[in-house]
Amino acid sequence: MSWVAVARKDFRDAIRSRMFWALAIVFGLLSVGLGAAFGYYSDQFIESVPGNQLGVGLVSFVQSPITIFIMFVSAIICHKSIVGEWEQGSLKLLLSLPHTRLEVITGKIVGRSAVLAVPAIASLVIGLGVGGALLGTVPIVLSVEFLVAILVYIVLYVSIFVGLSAVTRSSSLAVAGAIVLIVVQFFWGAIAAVLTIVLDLSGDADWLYIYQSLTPNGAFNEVLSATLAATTEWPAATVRANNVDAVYATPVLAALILLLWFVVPVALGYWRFSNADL
Amino acid sequence: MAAIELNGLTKRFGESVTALRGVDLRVNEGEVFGFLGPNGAGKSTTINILLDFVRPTSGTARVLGLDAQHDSQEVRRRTGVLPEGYKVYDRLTARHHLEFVIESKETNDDPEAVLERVGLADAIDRKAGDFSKGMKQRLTLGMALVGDPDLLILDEPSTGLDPSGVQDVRQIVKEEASNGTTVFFSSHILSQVEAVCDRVGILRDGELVAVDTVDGLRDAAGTQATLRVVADGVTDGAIDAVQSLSGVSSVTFSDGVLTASVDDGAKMDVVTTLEDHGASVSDFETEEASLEELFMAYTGGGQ
Amino acid sequence: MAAIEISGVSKRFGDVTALQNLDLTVEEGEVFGFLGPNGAGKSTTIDILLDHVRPTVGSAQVFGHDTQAASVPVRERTGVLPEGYGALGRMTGRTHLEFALQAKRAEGDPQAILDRVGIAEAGDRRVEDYSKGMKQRLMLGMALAGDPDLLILDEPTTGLDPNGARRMRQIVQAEADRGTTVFFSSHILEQVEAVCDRVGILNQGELVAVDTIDGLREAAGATGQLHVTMSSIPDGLVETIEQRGGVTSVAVEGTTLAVGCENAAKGAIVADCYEAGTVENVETSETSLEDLFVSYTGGEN
Repeated sequence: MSWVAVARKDFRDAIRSRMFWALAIVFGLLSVGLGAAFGYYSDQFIESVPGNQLGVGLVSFVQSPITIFIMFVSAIICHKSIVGEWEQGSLKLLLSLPHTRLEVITGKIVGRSAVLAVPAIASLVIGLGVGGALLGTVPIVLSVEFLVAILVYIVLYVSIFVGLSAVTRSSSLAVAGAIVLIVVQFFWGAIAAVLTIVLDLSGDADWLYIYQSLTPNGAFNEVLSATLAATTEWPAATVRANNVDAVYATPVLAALILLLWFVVPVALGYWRFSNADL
Repeated sequence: MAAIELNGLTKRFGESVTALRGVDLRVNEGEVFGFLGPNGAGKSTTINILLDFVRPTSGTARVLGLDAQHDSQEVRRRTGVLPEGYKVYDRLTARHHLEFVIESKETNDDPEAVLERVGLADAIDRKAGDFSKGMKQRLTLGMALVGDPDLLILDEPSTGLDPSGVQDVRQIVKEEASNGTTVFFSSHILSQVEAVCDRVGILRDGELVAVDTVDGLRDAAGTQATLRVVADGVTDGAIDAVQSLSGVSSVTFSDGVLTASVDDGAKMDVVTTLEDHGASVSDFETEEASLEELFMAYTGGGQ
Repeated sequence: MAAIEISGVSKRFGDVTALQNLDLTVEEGEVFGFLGPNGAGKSTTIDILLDHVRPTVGSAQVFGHDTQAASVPVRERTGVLPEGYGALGRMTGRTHLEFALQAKRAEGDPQAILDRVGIAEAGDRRVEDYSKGMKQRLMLGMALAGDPDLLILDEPTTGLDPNGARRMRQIVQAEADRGTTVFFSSHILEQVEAVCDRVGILNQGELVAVDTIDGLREAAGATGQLHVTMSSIPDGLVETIEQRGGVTSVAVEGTTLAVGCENAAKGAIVADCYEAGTVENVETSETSLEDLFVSYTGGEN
């Protein structure tokens, strides 16, 4: 269980950085700001919420900016997690202790996830609380499930970027990889539109279901919507699979892709890292 | 059982660079072993293989009877390391660093006692990022001592230390050795090596060119000691007599000081011969070939 | 005219006193070793010579130029190998040297300097790919650029292997022969002992000793050590030696007698051994510079 030691060390180290406190403050402001904004102006927002439910509106209003923020922040705090220690030489200290390289990766993922999760969950609890108080209703079950989903989302991106950090041999490559992953996701929809025109696919748009589920965010959002819709008042219309008439158009496929995003980057990272000469 | 046993250890990086060429080495348990060689001779690669940071191309390395690759975790549990070119965690205090090592090695050392030993107890709650180079070196040495390791690997331990710090390191190495710890001591500061090491190995271009005690190396290199005798009333006859002694060569005399290269057994013959010829000896000194000269002889350096 | 003349210099950083009324003269052409524990004020002294730091009280002169008022002339005649110079850039070793020559407005062949410091083949490689030892050699080369009259070397052997340290020493010697003054600050006392004419020991901001190493030995009243190895140590020999004048300690290590004594007593002690048994070897040693250093700076032990 020596990954616990690595995780604890990493967490202790991170919470002493100015970056962590800046991050926590921005997180807090963002969550409370979003919650309060929706609370105050719910009249104007509610029109666009499916089913006109205040609780659903609050959570979906907070979700999108927060997940994008988490994606950026996890890239910032994780891309150097392994390659940075390698370049600077602290990895020699770390690995002269009885840790396997798998334990180092595991410890890093757990430690950095905690670094993100603590301010994220705390901020969101306050943000949703403020929003709920202004609305006069707090969607308890939905909020709890949403918080769990955010935890999953944090671990997802932390593992992707820690895996990336273990694969590369220089932190500038790790930065480049992280930027590519983020930028490509932003243009994913635009790329689809271009492909549709170039390949003349407008007649058959079902392939878009798979295409849209390929990115980490696409897969995550689909699985989240499906889960929330099945267990709460979350509108079923947000589940993309419900709007596509194809055998493969099921959230199970998205869940499988999501699972691959959890496993593959870390596995690749571990494979490269464990075979590398330091 | 040997503390370290290398058999035919070879390491190539890529196609062109061969760092180690079939190194065989046995370091006995409880010994303080000095590991020398010019930059680029393969010292770091050897240490990196012992710790499984780097895998050999061929050959095997055993540490404390365990395979350095397959049982690396157990090897590192029982080994304390002061690596070269390491970096401490700037934001963590000295205490945090030691707690991390103690937790990693699952021991129950007291951080304060360890820091006391390396002379850093007053800085225990200061951030390591504010430490001087010497303090970082003391901290890292303390980390290496956690868990009473069976093997200590010290790579340039005196880097950044002032002379009293260097003495502290030597003291600690001696204490550890007297408790039965094997110490593998890699350094360019040959006076340190000579002061603490039972035996030394010299690496050159990836090959081990010598392994012996420092005295053994002196004998093998056939170097003679230099003897300087301060004496009054030295006559030409006395100098001739000294010159004709066996085991004595390159005799010179100037300003009342006679200098000669001598074998160990012949030193006093020089002094007694001078006195027999009526000279009065007021002082003499001997100077052995320094480890640096031996190092140059074995590594062909210094041109 | 002295190469370095420091008079009554004190330097305080806030509450911390780094230097306390320091007076020091280094003569032209001398190789001067500058020693002291970490934090004694060595770096501050060097910084004052280069006008990186201004003294709180007192003044310093280099070749008669005031280090503050005439800092540029001082630096034109001085080559510096600083400690902890940090990361070097993407330029090649040759470019670094060309830059150093230009800065000194000196003629000079970068390749000759590269040869001299032993990195002739690496001149066209980028410095960020150099090993620690190669960087150190390059920094020494930059200090030598333009044939300075004063060389200030701060821990010059950092990262150098014994071959590199020896070459550095040879260069120092050659510079000294040419008349260059060398100010040599180091913790590696074996290097200091090998090259320096005189040494100064700084402790807690004050100069506690300035002398030749032999002078320091005498001043410290240190005795030499005599080691006599015999086939076996006869009964009564230790007692006989202990009763001789000038003997301060006698210890037996296996079949070797370790005797602490004044120089004049050595002959008589050895004669005692010869009379009593078979002598296999005799070695002498003097108090090391390290022991002297520790006695002047009150080392922790």
